Amino acid sequence: MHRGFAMFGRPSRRELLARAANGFGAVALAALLADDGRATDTRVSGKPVRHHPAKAKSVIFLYMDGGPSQIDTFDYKPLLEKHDGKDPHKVFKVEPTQFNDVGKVMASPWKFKRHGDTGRWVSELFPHVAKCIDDLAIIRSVVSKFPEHTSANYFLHTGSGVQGRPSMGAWAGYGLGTDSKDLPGFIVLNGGLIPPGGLDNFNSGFLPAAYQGSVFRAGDPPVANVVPLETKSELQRGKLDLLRKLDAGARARFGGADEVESAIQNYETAFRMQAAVPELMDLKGESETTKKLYGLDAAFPQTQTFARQCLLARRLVERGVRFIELTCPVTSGDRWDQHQNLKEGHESNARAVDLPIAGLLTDLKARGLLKDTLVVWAGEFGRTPFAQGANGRDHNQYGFTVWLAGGGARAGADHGETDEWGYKVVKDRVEMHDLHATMLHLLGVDHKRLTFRFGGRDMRLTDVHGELVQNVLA
Amino acid sequence: MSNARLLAAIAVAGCLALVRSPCRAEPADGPEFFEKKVRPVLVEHCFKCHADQEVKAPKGGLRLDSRAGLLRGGDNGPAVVPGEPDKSRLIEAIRYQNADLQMPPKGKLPDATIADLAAWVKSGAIWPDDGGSAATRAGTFDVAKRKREHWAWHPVRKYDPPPVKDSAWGSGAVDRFILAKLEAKGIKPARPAERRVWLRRVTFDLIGLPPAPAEVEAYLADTSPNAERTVVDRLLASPHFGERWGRHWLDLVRYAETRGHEFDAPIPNAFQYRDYVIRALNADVPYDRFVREHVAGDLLADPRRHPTERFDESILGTGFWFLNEEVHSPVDIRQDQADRFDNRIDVLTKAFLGLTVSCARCHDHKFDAIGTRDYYALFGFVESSGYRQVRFDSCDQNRDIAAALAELNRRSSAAVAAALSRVAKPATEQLADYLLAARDAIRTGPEFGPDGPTEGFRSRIADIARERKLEAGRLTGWIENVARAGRNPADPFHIWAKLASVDSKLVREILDKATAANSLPSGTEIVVDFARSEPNDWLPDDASFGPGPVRPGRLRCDSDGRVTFVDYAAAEYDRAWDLLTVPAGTENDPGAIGKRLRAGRTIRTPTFKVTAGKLHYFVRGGGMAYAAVDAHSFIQGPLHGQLVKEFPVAGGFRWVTQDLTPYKGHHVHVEFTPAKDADFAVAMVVQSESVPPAPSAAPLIATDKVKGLRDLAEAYEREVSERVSRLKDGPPATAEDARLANALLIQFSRATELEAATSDFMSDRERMVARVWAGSRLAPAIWDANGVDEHVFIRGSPKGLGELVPRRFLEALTGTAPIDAGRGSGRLELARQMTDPRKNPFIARVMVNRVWHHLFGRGLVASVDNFGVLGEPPTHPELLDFLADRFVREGWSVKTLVRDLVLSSTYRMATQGDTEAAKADPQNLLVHKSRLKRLEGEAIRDAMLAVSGRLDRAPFGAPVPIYLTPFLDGRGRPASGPLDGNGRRSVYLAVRRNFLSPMLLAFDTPIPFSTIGRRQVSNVPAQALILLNDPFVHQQAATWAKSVLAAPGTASERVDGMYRSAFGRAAKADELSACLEFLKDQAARYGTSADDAKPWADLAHTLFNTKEFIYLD
Repeated sequence: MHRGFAMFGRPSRRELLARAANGFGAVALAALLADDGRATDTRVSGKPVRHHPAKAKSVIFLYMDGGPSQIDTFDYKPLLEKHDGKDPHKVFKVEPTQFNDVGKVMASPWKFKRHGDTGRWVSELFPHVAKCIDDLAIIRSVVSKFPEHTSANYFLHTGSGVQGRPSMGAWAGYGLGTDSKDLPGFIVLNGGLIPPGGLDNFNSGFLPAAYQGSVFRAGDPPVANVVPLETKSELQRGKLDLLRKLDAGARARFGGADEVESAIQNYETAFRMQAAVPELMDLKGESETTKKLYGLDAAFPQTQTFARQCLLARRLVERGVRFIELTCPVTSGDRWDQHQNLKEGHESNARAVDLPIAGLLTDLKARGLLKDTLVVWAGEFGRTPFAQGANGRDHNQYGFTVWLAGGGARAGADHGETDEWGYKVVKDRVEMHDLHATMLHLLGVDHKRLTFRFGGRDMRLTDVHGELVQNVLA
Repeated sequence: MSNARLLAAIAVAGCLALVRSPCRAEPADGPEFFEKKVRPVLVEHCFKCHADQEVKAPKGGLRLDSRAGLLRGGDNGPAVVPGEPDKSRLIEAIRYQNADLQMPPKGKLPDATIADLAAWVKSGAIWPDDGGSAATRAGTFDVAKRKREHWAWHPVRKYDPPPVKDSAWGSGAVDRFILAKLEAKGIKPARPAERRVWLRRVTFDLIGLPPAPAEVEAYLADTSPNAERTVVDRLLASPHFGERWGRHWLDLVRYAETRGHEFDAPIPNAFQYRDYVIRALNADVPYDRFVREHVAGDLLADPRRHPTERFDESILGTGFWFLNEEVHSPVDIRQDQADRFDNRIDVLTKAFLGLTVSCARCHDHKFDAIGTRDYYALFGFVESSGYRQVRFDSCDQNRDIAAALAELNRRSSAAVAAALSRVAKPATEQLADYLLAARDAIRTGPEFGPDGPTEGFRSRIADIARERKLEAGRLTGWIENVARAGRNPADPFHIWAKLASVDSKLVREILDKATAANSLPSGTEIVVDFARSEPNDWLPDDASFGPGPVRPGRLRCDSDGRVTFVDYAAAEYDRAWDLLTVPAGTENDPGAIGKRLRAGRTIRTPTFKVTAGKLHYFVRGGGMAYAAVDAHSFIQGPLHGQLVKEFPVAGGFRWVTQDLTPYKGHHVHVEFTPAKDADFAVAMVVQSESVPPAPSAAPLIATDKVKGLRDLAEAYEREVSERVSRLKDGPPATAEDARLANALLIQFSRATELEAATSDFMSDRERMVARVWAGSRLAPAIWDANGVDEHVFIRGSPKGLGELVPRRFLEALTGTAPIDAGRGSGRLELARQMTDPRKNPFIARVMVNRVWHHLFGRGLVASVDNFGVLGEPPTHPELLDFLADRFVREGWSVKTLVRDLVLSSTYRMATQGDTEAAKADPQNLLVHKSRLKRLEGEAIRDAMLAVSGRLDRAPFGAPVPIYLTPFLDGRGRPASGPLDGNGRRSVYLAVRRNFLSPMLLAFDTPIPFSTIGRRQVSNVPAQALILLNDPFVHQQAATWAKSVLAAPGTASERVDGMYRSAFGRAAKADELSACLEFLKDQAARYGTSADDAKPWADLAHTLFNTKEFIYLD
């Protein structure tokens, strides 16, 4: 068996038992290991990679699956009203689109207002987030290379448009491990929608399986195989007691090989996690005020779903989990993918996430966690300023909005511009690679130096690209 | 100059003057303008990436720090054309006109600055005191040097096994290579493993299952020196060998049964490839042959047959090309092709060559002797190799039947023609008189009933016949013939029929019109014309279009059962193949192209470039045209629906138009499939903006020289008589002869001799058609097409084309001469060169190293998929070459290689060496002991099934759907399969890209995206959670317990038996007592007795969880 990343970082048995006292967590748990060992396939290094002091300890990635419209949310373009109803070909150069069903120029159906001390424009889709506007660093000039969901999702998550590359959460775990003693380093809180491209958006690709995202569903149990099937706990305990005795023989037989030792230790971790996950999911200890802040009592069931995810995200941050990704709940429309009925679809999607996101930002700030927690709000692309058919918008990879908050992102920063129709970037273009580089930077990692050798190359999250978006750094 | 033009010219001049006016103070061609308005912009916005730098090469090979650099340009060509801002890439880029070329990348320059730069270029792009040079740092790529400097390119050398001191240790050459290195370092090899340990190790390694207790006993009882050999021979002969090693192989070809991406659409019948791999490994197909089948199995002159079912095995190998991920509705279809093909090149070169050729997609390889041209030389092969579902059971048999049908047709057409000649000849005498009489009869008003002329008309005919001394019956025949011709413009008597009803004065006019030219309009590009098609144009997917285009004079059986002669040369679907079907369970292509049964019923054009925007097909019957743009084979989603064109059944030949305007400039080929139970023929494919007129055959008579009616009638008499005479020597050879013959076939259809000839043909044909193999299975396979070469894509983007690279293998191995393709893609020659051990050292080295890796846990070259500079050097280069050389000399037998390796003393060593050895060789690179292995996910699952008794050992077949937990969700979610996978081995579980088995993933079964020759071996708590809490594991434990309790025995005997099943050994005393005590305690916890099934299931579950179950020492 070759040595390498595959191995548990070889902590001593005592060390592991010491950890056991700290309580537990979850699942594919993989990243438990990550604070002990990470490496390329030929080297094992013992320490997390920190190339410079980190501003953020954790990332909460609010993934707006489907591509929210920039011009209906955070990128106000009054000129669209002037051109509303015109043939877009007469106003600007129209690029090929996914559905090739180009309608008229369509102004935003929502009103915009200035908010906060920074006086920035937010549409009425996000009344609650608007209250936190001064905390946001807004990039209105993000571009993607792909106009189709799956490729764009892979690109957003992995920096490559094809299947099989490690997700950014996996890279973070590979580079930094986790500060959680009980939970995996990369957890996906799934609101109900799995993005096109499937679970591979959260996979570890060619990195060890240890770094793959553990997907927690909204339901109970949140993860597979964490609930014992035995009807009484002492039945499982009995098995584990016997297992310990029998494995003592195996240990001898295999000469105390490291990997066997680690596999034995994993059982203790796994056993404890069976308890830790319910503890995490149990919100009894949260005050009514907190629950209300997130919208757990909201009338709209999807708001409740996302509120619970946001609250869990905070609890995961408190437990030291490195990278937490939230996917959207299923609303009446599809994801943020309003090829038709923009108004109804965007309204229900926004309604599901607006209050919980504001609650999360407010709560993190109140607890002093926001400064160490980078919150990122992003879709895989934006939408066209012209209609698809009569009342939808098609995919637009030429310019859309992503915002950051906390974790070393500069509150109040504005970066980049799209043209006067909100269609294409004209100033300070930001590629996915730049976004990735910036996120890693805030975590204390130089994106050019976090590499893993695969297929004859030292692979990076940012491939051969990526520049820091200096303007959004605090 | 016209007035309008003059005005326009004045207006343009005015605009230019306006544009330039702000600069009047500083002319744009002066040094001051350059220093103030141009140089600062270049320095600030461009030099960071496009100037001479110490550390890195300028991006895109472009330097903007000198005029020479601007003019020379970069990978995309010159950056500036002095005086022509609109033709200058620099200006195009800064204007942000082209979505793919926008500079500076971070944002558009102010409009005024852009105008300044444009003005500067317009005025000649003056660069004062320019001392710069255009040289870039590129150009260090030297294939010969790189080849010379890296071991892997060097030929395989012959080495003799080195001398060793301890000659008693090793049993063969391999051992001497290993021992010599150990002895040189003073390291002692580990002691031999216990016999049981060796047996368990070799059984898992060779067949992926634990040894059965009886097999353990038999081996232990065999004390002969051949005991190991007996075991190994048994395992190599086991059908499970192919399943185990087949799974290793599937890792290399990113085996999957769906395309992933948004909807996870199926790759239809992909499992046939999986079964092919398993059979090939079991049959020990020589590895070089196996490789040739993958690369060109569809082209081999001697395809390999299945021993009992006789189908073509070789063609199935080509299925691996199509196992890639695929996008359902790409906006940029050309880019999508580039990405898809990149994956195919990546897998081809990593799997067979251990080389990362894909790194040369955008630039010459950074480290290895692989140039960008190598990459695009291979790209051409992929582009020349289309996709189809092949009817692999039947392709040979049906090809033979099609050939026999063609031969029968050839013979019968001569017989029918001769009979027709004899029957019709007498009727051609005095034809002129008859035609003139027929005209007169028709002019006075013909009346036909269902059985021919009415009573009244008959009597008029009789009168005319009498009057002119003609035979009434014969005259009736000609009258009917002319009347029919009036309805069919292609009939040779059509002109006569038209004349029949008009006044004599109009005759001349009609005759003149009939001679009007009727050729294709200029600008029409002929893609295929089956009247003069080249061999490269003949590209059917199977036998249903016969062995070649039909020519005029061939017989055709129409849907109404009538026999006629073919007039247009065409690719004609033979209705004999209407009975083609597929067996139940066969998957069809997804999306729009899968709506019809296409397999075996399709013909395609060569690949060509869309220039006109509209394609026109000259077709008969009904069917579907699929225009495969950029080899896309998957129409599902909002875009590209227009690539599928359906045309309803209709009578004669006509033009059908398909609009491909949005795809101008793309490569395309068109696939034609007949509608269900319908005639179909395609005679010509052209492209032009407007619909061409229908081509017409040369008229029977050149009417321009005809002076009048009588003259024309006599010309008919001469021509018809002569042509009818010729028919006795053979079938009609031209379209006009065929049409004449067809007219006469109807006229004389009741003649006995003719009826006999046609019915002989029909009954012989029926007999042959009865032998058609209708229900073959399908599999993905290559459909070889015309050879297409590809240009270098500058920096990997198909939007920037460099030089055209002829198809060939890697320059470092076989030079730069284009492949000798002959007809088609040239893959056969590629396969030959790839597997020529004198030219290509990789093919054998990479394979023996893979086998070594699987048996010893680490390759002699640890980076098994990368023998390049960034890979790892071999620990035992001489042994690697010795094995490669012997592998080739001994006929590329994988089983021989495996046998030799597992019978070595090296393989036999225990996993624990002595402490001194561990110090000297801490990573065990010198192989002083065996490596502990954790079983793969598949082996763990299979072992549970084997031990529980649930294992279904049946091989092959459609995949068993994955059991879906609620955690497996997303678009394209399939139906869930059974929890236990029906007891089938893991290699037969479905591999759907977006719904992979969580258990297998947790135990490192790779995601199928590229070649994975060495799996990760992770060790995470998720694995413990699966073994503890997964319902499948609990289920198998219960099944095992049930079978244990069903057999007689005491509790101790049962526990011991479980140990023998699971671990291949007896339970030790302490283990036995611990287990018995557990049974008792657990029974108490349940409140039941110790021989109840529940505690026994819990014991079984616990044994599954022991490390001994999943580790192999």
